[in-house]
Amino acid sequence: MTRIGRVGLVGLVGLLCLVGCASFEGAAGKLIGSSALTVDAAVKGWEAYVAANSNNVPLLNEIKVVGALERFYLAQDAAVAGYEAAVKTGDRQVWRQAAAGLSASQAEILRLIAEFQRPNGTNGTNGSDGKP
Amino acid sequence: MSVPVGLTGEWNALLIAQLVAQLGPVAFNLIDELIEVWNKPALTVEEVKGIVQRTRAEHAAYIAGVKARAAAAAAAAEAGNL
Repeated sequence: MTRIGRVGLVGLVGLLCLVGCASFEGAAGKLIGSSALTVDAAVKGWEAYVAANSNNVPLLNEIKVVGALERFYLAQDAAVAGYEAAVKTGDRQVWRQAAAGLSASQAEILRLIAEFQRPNGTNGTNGSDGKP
Repeated sequence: MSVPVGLTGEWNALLIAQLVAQLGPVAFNLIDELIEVWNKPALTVEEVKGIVQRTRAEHAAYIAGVKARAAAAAAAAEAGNL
């Protein structure tokens, strides 16, 4: 179910885009916004998980999640810049590359959060010492 | 709760189930926010920037906390090696 859940999350934005897009501006803005909201919800869930399991979550896992979140923010900055440039100039090349980067970084952080919350994942029960 | 253009009830049920399974209770709020976004004709650059800033602000304290604990752990490890 977790795997299905991950696939569903990663594919959600693309699916919504396929079925709901009427224009470039409609699609691009909604893609960035949906991605931001999805990662925001995932990180809120992670923070709640850490708060509830503070003695069992290795610091290393938290550092990895924060690193992935900061990489997502960089990709998000590029996507917003690409969207803005496409709206102003009509050139969508930068946007296309940035959108791919945004999807990849979103998938990375969702995968990490799902993995670290799995009972048999790298949550400190399989030898991870939690040190940075 | 209104339905995004082109999404059938069956797809909505599947996506909602997947999101809840993956994210837990926060998924319900996410679903409402996604529907709100996708029911708009478009998001302007300014609206997108607003969402980005709001969602980043939610996690600034957590990021700072993790970095502080990582720095403290590194300092403690260094002191232990001296």
